[in-house]
Amino acid sequence: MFSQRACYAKTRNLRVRPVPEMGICFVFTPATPKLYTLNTSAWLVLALCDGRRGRALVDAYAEELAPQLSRDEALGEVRLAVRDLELKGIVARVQDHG
Amino acid sequence: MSNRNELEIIKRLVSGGTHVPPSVEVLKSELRSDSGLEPPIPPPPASIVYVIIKWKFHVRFSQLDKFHGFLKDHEEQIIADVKDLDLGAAYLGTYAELPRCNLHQTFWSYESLAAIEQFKAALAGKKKSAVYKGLKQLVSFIDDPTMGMHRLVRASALAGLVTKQRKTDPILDMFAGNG
Repeated sequence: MFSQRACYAKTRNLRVRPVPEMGICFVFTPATPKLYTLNTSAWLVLALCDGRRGRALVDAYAEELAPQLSRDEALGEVRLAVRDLELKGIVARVQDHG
Repeated sequence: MSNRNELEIIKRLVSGGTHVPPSVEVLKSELRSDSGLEPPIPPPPASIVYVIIKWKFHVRFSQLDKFHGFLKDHEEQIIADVKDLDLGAAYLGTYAELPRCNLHQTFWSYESLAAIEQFKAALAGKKKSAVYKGLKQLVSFIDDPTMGMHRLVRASALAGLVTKQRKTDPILDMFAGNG
């Protein structure tokens, strides 16, 4: 479950290959192993998972998508996306080093 | 690509289009064919057999004796007819897997990738020929839902291809970089 207090980062050994011309990125999870396609929005969420807290992640996502999305809408999307990425072993909760 | 550059690229993409909520999909298997290696053209020198095409299929038990009898009577003629087309294609025979013998593999060889298309075109234009009729009869025994086709290329022709192709193929790059 997504928490605005927890910190999120990409999992170890993850292989990310952006394909900007298609607006997507491919992610390979060697531990599973599986290959995933992330659309631009999911790719943005992943890129923002750099160890920051969930709250900061939502803020950054909302900022990029304003005025198309309100903060509440951004929270809803980030919550689902992070949960999905976490279930697939693409992101994980990490200790706060800040 | 640094994280900062990547983020800048994503921001440009996000700001430039209609918003679509995040989605993370398992890559469908059909992408394999988009990310595979394509052998170079022309084939390497001294290549006799460059490409082998393998059909793998089952024949119903009730049809086995009839099928094997057909091959016994007509296989030599199919070999000769294909050779007579002189297109760099050859029928190498149909083999049954022991012990049950209902699984079969038919092998074709081609001297070049172009020969595959030339052979297909020749068959399409000769539907009344003996070679077309012979092959049509052969495939009539195939139990369609189980049929598989495999394309094998001379491995030596692929020397150095991974290094070259991964520069433009993110999927191949991903796999080639794994270990």
